[in-house]
Amino acid sequence: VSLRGGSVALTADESQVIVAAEDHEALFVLPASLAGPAGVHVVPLPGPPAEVVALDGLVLATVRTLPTARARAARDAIRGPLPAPEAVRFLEPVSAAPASSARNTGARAAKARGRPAASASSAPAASAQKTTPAPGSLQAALRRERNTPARPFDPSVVRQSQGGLLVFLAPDAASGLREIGRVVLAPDAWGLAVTPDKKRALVTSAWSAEVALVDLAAKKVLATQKTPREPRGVVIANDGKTAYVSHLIGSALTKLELTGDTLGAAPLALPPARWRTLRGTPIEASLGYSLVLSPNGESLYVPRHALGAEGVGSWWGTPTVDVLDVPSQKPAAPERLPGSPKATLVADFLPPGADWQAAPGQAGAPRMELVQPRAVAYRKKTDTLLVASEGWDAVSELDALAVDPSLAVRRVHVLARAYDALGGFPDQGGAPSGIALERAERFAYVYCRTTFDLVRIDLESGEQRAVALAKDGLPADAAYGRRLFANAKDTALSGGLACAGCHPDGRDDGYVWRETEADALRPEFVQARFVAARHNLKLNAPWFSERPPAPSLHPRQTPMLAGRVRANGPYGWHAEAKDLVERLLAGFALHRATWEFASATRDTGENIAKIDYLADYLRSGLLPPPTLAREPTPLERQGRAIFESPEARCSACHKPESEFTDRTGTSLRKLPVAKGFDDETRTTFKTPSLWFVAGTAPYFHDGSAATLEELVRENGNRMGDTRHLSAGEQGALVAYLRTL
Amino acid sequence: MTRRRHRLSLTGLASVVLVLVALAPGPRHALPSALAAPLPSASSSAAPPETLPVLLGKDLPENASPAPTDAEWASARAVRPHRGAPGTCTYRILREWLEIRCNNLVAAGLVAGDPKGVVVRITGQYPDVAARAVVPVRRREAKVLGFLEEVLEYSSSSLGEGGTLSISWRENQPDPVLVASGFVASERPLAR
Repeated sequence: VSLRGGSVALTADESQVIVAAEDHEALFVLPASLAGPAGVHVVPLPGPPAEVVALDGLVLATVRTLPTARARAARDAIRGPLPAPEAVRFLEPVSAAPASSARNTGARAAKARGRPAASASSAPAASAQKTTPAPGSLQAALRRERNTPARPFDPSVVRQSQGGLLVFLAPDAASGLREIGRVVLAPDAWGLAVTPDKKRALVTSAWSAEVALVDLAAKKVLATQKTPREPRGVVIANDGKTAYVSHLIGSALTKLELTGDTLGAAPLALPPARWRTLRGTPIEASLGYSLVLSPNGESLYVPRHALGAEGVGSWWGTPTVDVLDVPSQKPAAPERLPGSPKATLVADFLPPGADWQAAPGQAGAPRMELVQPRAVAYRKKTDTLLVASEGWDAVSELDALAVDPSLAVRRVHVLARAYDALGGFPDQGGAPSGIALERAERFAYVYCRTTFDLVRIDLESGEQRAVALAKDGLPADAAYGRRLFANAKDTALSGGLACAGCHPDGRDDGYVWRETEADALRPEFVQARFVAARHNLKLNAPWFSERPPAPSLHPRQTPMLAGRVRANGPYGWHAEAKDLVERLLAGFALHRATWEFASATRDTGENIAKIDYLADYLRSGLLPPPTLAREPTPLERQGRAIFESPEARCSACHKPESEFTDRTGTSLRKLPVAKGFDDETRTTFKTPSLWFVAGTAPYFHDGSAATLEELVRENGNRMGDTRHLSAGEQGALVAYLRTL
Repeated sequence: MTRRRHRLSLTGLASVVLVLVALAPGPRHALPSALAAPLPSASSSAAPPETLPVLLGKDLPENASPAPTDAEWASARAVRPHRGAPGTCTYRILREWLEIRCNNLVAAGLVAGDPKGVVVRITGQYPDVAARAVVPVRRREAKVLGFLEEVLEYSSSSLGEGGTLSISWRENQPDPVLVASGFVASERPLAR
């Protein structure tokens, strides 16, 4: 029995598999054999589930939000009707994919993204071929439903929550599972792990930045601890006394100490992709959705994204699996040190290369098969890790004994059968988000989040057996947008990292990226107009007569999208895009790498279609974080009065009636140039919405304010005027901002 | 672009000779299950010959020794990586010094880890060249070595990834672990 939660889990006797279908707000219970429809149940939950643990006679599920009545009605309209068990479709098994890429194809693999999956045969059953166009064909694309109207939701309603939940369910012959209890937690309950004695559970609440220790017998919260932003995965050591939490944002983990009924928390440093990036250039991490311990407890594996890690073609960094040596609490990977002349050499019959090409002593290209790692499992009998790549629609098997398993990919199981010929979105197997491994470790069950499939992979033969659990409840165009949002293979949308790579759950990665003007760079060697770190720009080649000028790099903190894009416009940092379509089109060009440069405008018609899909998803399906619906405290009321006062003038630009923004560019006094960035002449920035501002640190376009407290304290008269506020009044203003 | 085709120094050729010593197949003492575990099927078909032993901690000296001379390498013994296919590479160990020699690969470098004592050479004569790296394997140390191949383009060549070797020996592990990845078993000479 896995005591570590995931979006898919096997029951204790391994007769059933349970899927936490967040977007349908239900659990699917299926026979683990996936042999047929008998025994399929759809169990409605009081809110969207995130992770499940199945114990003997007890199933635990985290539920991100228990909506208020108003939010309940709004969410029901968004997700559509509860799927019917009769609608579950058991698909023909697909034979093994060709032997996988043990070798890193590097940048060449990146060039190949967007092509239909060269995976397990995508041919459908012969009988079906007569009436159904082949997946990925133009005929199939033309037959799709499209031009469905969006159903925009009101974020201020959808967000209203009564809290997160840990739901207790028991097996039930008639309904599959029935609820037998619940514990109310902080909103956005997500990660789940159970102690080895099965008496207690740890639950992370992502948006609330909190971890709770729950007594399973008493069904009550014993203790809580605040953590840094976005705690997600949680794993408990074999001794039951120590646990580790991964975060979507930042490179540090949180280490928890479970002592009696108390819970201690402390940050634990784990530098990302340490072997790739030169000592002295610290980098950040994101997308820490999950983590796993080796069976002996001596290695902790954290698949995530290393922002700015070096490698050929890695303008955005690289996916990585960082390993903590648990006994020493130190990273297992070695540091990359300044080169030693004796330690690198190239044959002298080869001409010197450009700095964007492979070179001895340089880290290799990112493993695209791992992009946007979402879930992980340890396969003991081979000492390998199974890592689900949300962006590549694949599960890869990595050598767990390498200093960074991402450098030793042993096998890739591509789950997508085909990509739509016009839209570029996956037909099936899109965005795997959870893995459950049976005890014998032959079969792995994978839940695919954007196409709502459960895939069973035979890890020995490579055969895949898929079950289509449900249709997307969103309108068709928004559903396509959902698939595009997560997909890193589409050449037009991304340069190898999907929207969800920087906007996980539609939120933000907490990172300040570097943007430059396209015209400042020579197109024949520009890697991107948007890089994670200065060292990701590779500009020099021996055949250039002079060193290219270094472009100015301007700071751009990733903005949160969920619940913030309902307005028609304008969009862009300087309000330069009149609407969302224009902004997304500019974003496509901005985020693409050099190999797509030539096609920046070539596929504009297709791009518009994709943008339509994405815009529909952003407004109709990308749900904002849940926040507690409650009456304001006196302190918060005081803060509101300050916010709206003619002295402070916050509400003059952050207009409450229009999502706390006036949607116009405002020229403000320049901030000091942040370290690692260059000066920029434009000082006019669009007033950002303050909705959800509590959870989007750091602040300003350059991330120079780490907290709201710091922002208010240092503001002076730059935005409105807060010079007259006492420390207590500043605290009141911050308290109010946190409610927005 | 004019391509230079130099004859390379033959000084390294002495190191090419593999000296086979009497070796019992398989490990000399029980390995942790981690090291004994087979890899997934897709790569196990290309697993290194089982007749060669893997590196064991007990066979390596506790204290650092000087790098072997060319003459000393004649008494080195062949080993294999614990995990992954060796491709065109052969491995030899002398005291704690590991030699990796990869035919048809044209460049190599230490990507991460302490560079002290690490030496890379290109040996042989074009087109039968090999990249050779010598690294110390010591407890509490880890290294990543990258090897590169020649990639032919329209009018010139560049470098592409030819394989990566992860070396680690953690404090609490009885043996070091060598993990090879991305090496292709091709004996063809460089294509020109």
